[in-house]
This record gives sequence, C-alpha cells and structure tokens, in this order.
Amino acid sequence: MVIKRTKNMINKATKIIISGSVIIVTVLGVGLYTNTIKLPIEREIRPQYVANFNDDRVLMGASHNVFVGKVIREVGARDAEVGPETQFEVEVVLNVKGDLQGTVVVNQLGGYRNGILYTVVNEGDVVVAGTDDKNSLLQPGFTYLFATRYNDDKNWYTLNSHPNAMKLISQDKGVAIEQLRELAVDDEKIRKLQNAYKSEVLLDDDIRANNTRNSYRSLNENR
Amino acid sequence: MRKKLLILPILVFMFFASVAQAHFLGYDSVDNGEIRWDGSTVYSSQWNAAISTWNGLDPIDILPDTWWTYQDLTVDDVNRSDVTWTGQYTNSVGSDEIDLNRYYLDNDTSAQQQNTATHELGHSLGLAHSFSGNVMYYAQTSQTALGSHDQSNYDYLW
Repeated sequence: MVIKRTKNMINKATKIIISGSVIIVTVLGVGLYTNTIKLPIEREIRPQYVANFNDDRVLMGASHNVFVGKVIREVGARDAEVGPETQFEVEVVLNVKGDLQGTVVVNQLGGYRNGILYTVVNEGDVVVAGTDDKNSLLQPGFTYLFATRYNDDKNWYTLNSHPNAMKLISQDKGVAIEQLRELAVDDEKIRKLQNAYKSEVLLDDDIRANNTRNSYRSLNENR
Repeated sequence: MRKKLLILPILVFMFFASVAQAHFLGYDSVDNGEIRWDGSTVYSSQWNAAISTWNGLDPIDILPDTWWTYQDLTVDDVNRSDVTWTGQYTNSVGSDEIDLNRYYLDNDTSAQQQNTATHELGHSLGLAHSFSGNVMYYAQTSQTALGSHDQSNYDYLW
C-alpha cells in the first residue's frame, strides 16, 4: 500500500517536472526566436566598404539623403540575406542632402537574432587595437545626423554604417524640433558636409545604375 | 653590462609597439586548425584564389566542408544597392557568414573582387582592419597579395 502510494507520488512528480520543463523550453524557444527575450550576448559584423568614407566628399556622393532626425520609435526588424536589420521611425529635423519631410523609416544594419544582438563595428581608416566602437542600435528620443541610401523596394533609408556617416546631435528627449534644428545648423560636422556636398564624388556603380539620387549636379545644373 | 641594460628596454618597447599595432578581432572561424566552408558565389575563381592566398601561410587550412566535418563558414552572394559595403563577415552562432555584394562587385575588376574575398577570409582568420597597403585595409582596393602587416598579424596570431 505504502509502496504503491510512493510510486504514485513519484509518477506525479515526474509528470510535473516533465511538463514544467516542456513549458519552460517552449517559452524560452519562442522568446528567443521572436527576440522578445534578449540575451546579454553580442556578436559582430565586419564590412569592407566600397570607398573611403573618411572623405566627406565621397561620403556625400555615396549618400542619397543626408539629414538630421529625431528617432521616434522602433518599427520593425528583418533578418534575411544580410543578417539582422532594424527599422526606426524618424522625424526629419534638417536636410543636408535631399528634401525629406515629416517622418521617414531609417534602416540600421544590426539587430537581434535569436535573442543575440548583432552590431556592425565602427571602424574608420586607422584602427588601434582595443579601440573598436560598437555601432549600437539607435535610441528612441535621441537626435542624430544620418547619411543614408534609399531602398525603393522597402521605402526606407539605410544608414551607412561607417563611423563618419552618423553623429549624435542630442540625447535630450524633451527638446523641441525647432531647437534641434538650431543645434543642427550650428554643428561643425554638418557645415562641413554641406560644403562637401558641392564637390561630392559619386560612386561609379551608382552612375552606371542611374542611382545617383539628389546628386548636387542634378539638382543645381539648371539653376 | 651597460649595453645589455640599454638593449633590454628597447626590445621590450619594440615588443609592445608591435602588439599595439596588431589588429585582431578576438574571435575567428578557425576550428581545430582549419576553416571548413560551404555555400556558393558567382566569384568562385576569385574566391578560390583568395583561399589559396591564405593557405600559402602556415598553419591554418581553409578547406571545403564535407559530410565528415563541421561547417565553420558559409559564403553567399547578395544584391543590395542601399548598403555601402562590398562584402561583410558576420561572427555568427554556429557557422560564420561571408556575404558578397553583387551591386558593387559585378562591375568590379577581377582584382577588386579577389581583394574583397581575401579581405573577408582574413576576418574569418581573426584579423581586423589594418593600414593602407594591406588586404585588411577597411575599404576595397585592387590589392590581391598580402601586405607585410597582413602577414605579420597572421604570424603573430597563429
């Protein structure tokens, strides 16, 4: 009688443990697959750039739209042919190249895959060991300068991951757009890029593919 | 004795100077002294030439994956006009990835295509970006042979 009761208790305990484990594994699996669970693990992406983007004229020529914008919120994520990418809704503050209005979607290379954050490493011309900086994901509420290329299939503006292609303008989430515009107009890097735009160097591949959106020459040759 | 005392700090300085200029990722795709790769690319001759370049150095071998080996690296072509890279290496969980971007590479010379393949394989060997005159320079060039810094970084690491 006692042995039978003990066996029943063991059976019940085993069933509870197995069911609990299945539930935990399922929740963890779904959480990681959908990136709702974020692990404290990071992995790196290392690109080879098509041109020397330390040169502002090359950076401007390779960009379709350069603008200052305030990140409103994350609006999407994709993990297809080039790895994780993350999309953000951004309110345009000031145009440096092109003429964007209202809000646009900025696509940033990097993001979460199975709960692990993949980031593009910021590397410029000269790299000293141990000084690599991670291209962290954009922060809602922050205002940045973005050098981007347009993707007409997705209707988004992909941020160039080179360190010269982005600058944090303000971390203050409460600043009005007008004040942000004044900050941007006074920014030395933005002034440098405005000057570089006039002598931008277009990418040969863009010229060949007729993909030189907002080139200085195309917008100013008839003026 | 004085000479020895003078030479010692110089040697120590030279050692630390060379380490400070070394460019390493801190991770790689090497498994048991080799990288087993799979996947496909339209730039197969440039890809194979890039593999031969690195296999010319000892001790790491880059070899095709087989049924009996664990795949360390996957190569693939993409076509993205909205990014600014010719190739990229992703240190993934499981097999690492190399993506080659046809938007730029299709119109490049064979030397430029080989430069990108060699560069990305250099990352899979654990090398980070380096100075101009090396295949590990951060932007694409037409250089196909390894530079002196590429070789010294490889030798130091392996």
